[in-house]
Amino acid sequence: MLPPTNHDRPGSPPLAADPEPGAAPVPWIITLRFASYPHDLLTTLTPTSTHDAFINSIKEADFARNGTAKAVMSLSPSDTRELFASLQDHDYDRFWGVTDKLLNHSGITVKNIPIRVYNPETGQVIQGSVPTRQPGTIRGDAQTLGTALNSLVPIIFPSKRSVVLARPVMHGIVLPLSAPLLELMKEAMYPDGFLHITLAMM
Amino acid sequence: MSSPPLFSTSADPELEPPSLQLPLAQIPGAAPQTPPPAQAASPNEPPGSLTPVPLPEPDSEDDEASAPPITLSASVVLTNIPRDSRVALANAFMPSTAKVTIRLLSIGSAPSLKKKVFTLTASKKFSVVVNFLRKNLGLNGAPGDSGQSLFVYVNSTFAPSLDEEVGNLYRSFKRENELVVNYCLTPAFG
Repeated sequence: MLPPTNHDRPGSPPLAADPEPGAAPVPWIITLRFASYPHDLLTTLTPTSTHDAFINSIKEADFARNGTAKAVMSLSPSDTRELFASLQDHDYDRFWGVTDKLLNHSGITVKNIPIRVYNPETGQVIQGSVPTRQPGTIRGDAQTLGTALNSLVPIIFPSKRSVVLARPVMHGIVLPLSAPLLELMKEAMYPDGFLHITLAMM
Repeated sequence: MSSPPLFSTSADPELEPPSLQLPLAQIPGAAPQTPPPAQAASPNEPPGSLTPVPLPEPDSEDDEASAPPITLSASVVLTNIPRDSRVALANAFMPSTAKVTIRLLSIGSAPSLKKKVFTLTASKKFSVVVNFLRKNLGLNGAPGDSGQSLFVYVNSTFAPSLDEEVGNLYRSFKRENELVVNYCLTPAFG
């Protein structure tokens, strides 16, 4: 059950040499290439392209949260530089010093929470923006991780309260379905502003 | 392709191989109608299934929050729960064949297209949109030349990654049931 590969590209060695008899199965096989960079498949990474990709990610997340990217656009140039530098330096405090301005921008209350759910076998993504409050509830109940996943991926999460087929994982931590989603975003969102959730199948 | 399965639960190494090798096995005359792996997830009636256990319907959407589709007692009988969750996984992430509507609008000096509204299968990547634009605007250079720059945005706001699915973008960012894509020859929306 190997994932699809680009083994049809010219110059590639045959895929997946047979493992030695009796050897333990390896989790994956890595092929290193030193030529024929696949420009048609991969972006060339430069400091500029990495910076631009990051800024566009936080703008996408901001737009998903608020319906506008005003919060990101109104960051000062020095704040924007600081945000990217904090990411490069892995500096949590400096990162949140700027990101607090994004999440608590004056005149804007967060409406949606951007989520990406990953298929652990194929890497496919389901992305959605989940309202902070559950639609259809009389009192506007706060969204929990369970209600959000139930609305986004009902096949995997048929129940809003108990896990049936998979456990949600972020940062390597199994999360309770009862976790309030807005709090989860403020405490544990990834640097690009998304909740990236993968699945530990049961 | 005789490599070992990528995932095997150490507790039951005996259980996985039959289902994994099923699409690969070249047994003469064996179950010619056996579906290929991608369709093993087809919701109804796994035909002539070699797996002994009937699969439950994991994609019933009618049940209330309290009723999981597999009861705990059933999971004792069904010896291969991991396969059930794999079926659910395949169903949940089945590439959508639905079409989404995309409106392509030029910014600044970028030439307009005669036809501005298109439909695209939801599971296609955003790179399909970008490549379509490059081709129709004549921006692709000669082979080996990367051609002219093109900057493509959603809702005049952000540039999505090329590997994002248009269905995902549509779900999050549609406006009046259209995904609005703006394109430009110079960077905009800094």
